[in-house]
Amino acid sequence: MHTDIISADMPAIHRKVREFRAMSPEVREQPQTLLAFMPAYARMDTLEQKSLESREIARLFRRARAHLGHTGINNGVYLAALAATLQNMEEQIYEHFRSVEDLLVEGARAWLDSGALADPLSLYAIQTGIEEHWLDPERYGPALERALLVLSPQGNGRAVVLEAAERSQL
Amino acid sequence: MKILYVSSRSVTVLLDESGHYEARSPLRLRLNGEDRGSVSRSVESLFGLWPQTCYILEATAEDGRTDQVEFETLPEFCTLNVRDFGAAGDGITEDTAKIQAALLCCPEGGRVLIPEGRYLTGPLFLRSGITVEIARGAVLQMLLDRASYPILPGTVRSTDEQEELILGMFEGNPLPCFAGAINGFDIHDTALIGEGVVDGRAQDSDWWDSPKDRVGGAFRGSLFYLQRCRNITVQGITFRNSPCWNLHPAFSEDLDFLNIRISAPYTSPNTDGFDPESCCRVRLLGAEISVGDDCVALKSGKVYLGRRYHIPCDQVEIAYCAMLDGHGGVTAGSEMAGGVLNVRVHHCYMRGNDRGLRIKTRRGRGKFGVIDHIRFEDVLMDGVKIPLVVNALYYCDPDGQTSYVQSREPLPVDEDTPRIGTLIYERVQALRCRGCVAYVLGLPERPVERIVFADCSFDFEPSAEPVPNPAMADGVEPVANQGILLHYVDRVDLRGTRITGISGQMVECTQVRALNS
Repeated sequence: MHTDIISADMPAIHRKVREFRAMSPEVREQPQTLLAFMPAYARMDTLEQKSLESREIARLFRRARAHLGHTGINNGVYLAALAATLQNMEEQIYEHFRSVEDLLVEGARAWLDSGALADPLSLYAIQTGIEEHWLDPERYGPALERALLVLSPQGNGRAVVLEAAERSQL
Repeated sequence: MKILYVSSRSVTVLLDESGHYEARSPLRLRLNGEDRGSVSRSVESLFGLWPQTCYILEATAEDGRTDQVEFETLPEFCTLNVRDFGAAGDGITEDTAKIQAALLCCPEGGRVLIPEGRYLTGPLFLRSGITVEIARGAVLQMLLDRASYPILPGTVRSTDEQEELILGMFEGNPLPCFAGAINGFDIHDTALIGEGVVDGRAQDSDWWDSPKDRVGGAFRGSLFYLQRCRNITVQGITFRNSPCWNLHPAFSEDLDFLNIRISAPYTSPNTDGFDPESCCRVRLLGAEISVGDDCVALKSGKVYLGRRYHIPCDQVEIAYCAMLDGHGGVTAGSEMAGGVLNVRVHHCYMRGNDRGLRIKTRRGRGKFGVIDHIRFEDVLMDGVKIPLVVNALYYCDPDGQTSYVQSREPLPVDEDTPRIGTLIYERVQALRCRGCVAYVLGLPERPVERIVFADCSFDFEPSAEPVPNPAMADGVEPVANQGILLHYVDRVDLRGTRITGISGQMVECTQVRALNS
């Protein structure tokens, strides 16, 4: 989870950020790119206590959301990117933190309304959102539990979610 | 004489309209013919009155002049004494639940009495329509362990996820914070009166360690905290050693703070005295403040709250107060995204503050971040290093030192650009200044609109030590014995104003459109 990034040294984070900055604007706004790079980007910003990038992070997610459209925001990669980025953002730059949080809530609602698909990365995002108090446990908790059972009828859904998150280096 | 406030058990009166915090001479008071001793403040409060009773208050000056005023105290339905609810008041037994029970049982029109004693307590929550009296000799000693304090979530989304409820606030953002010592949420017509003390005891706890961080799941709270309240009065109470800001009313209106005392060590972190945030019709009269940060700071959200709700701090009167130790006597900002408007500071005494009036903002606060119509009238300053500082490039906080905030090149005026309108200094007398009369740093793309100095006098200490950082912005040089230093100002009116003891010019201008003197 995000502790991987916390424990990473700054040179590694900077390498990752440089790699991200070398990408074209179109690629940067892809959910897969956001998932791979935004948590480190946010972490760098927080660790350096400058919060130069909060605005840019929020802007990239808003652009991604516009590309996905309302029917696409239950996308598991996008939702996981939002949740993992929020975990690393400086909450005291609240306007941008809140902007990303609002996108997560909107996406979670879409996930719920579209049948709460048992996609591991979606479930990672919902579970993280509940744990971090960004999502209402009463609204999303029961659907999460049901989806975890669909994901793994044997009852180890959380382990499957964890594996998926680790594969995505979250 | 003028009656400022009457409760069932107390009165606050303006005794000397032309005094500062101190009246021009001591006054002998008689209440219904009974001697109430000599007083020295321009605004005084008397306690121990009886409900629904007519009184005649006489004040006699040393020269024999006498003035009098009549008033009638308000009715009161009953008194609930917290001792009758089991409060021990021994400083050892925790009394939180007992005091809170009395507060919850008290009907509208009733009084909760906290008599003499030392009450070990956690946060208390007020309710509407009651008077709470912390009597002389009573001290609310706040618990030292932050784990004993409820956490107020920053925001709670409504059930349909379309709206939000704001509960906790920290430095202008809705973030989880520990409850204050005394809290009010959505209450009205409530008074907290008396000569007692609310003691946060932060010096004996860990509140002042890692002051900017979430510790134990939340940020620091205050000693008196309001959210969405109206018609609230605080009279006579002493607040000391707060974990963070001392008094923090937010999104509230019609608030009176009369003859309160606020103290915290000069070195304590962010222990602002009185910080109304997005509040309307606020009076702070006859207060004495000595703290570790700004004595009074008028606020309206850092960015998010200002933009979402655009509720300014509006119609604020600060009068007959003493601002002693503290960075700024009266400050607007830096959390001002909803605006700070129509502020009148008059007949105050400021001693030894770093700044008299301090305006703090920066790019990014947004178009609702307007500071306008701020007046200082008949203010006496002694030993204030710099009487006026205006800084539109304020660099504190994580995002303050970016090139966007600190650029001296004009940037496009847009949704993120704050505005500073008219600031008026009239009949301000400042003795023993050290740095400069005024250091004004506006935005290159949106200069400060107008500054007026009328009938003021500024006298400097000879050969004063330089004051570093007159404005907290990049590239600002120390100042010593200098006049009015202006950068990016539209118009300055200077009339009847005298400056003595400076080296160099009375006014030094950079990018000032009009200087009228």
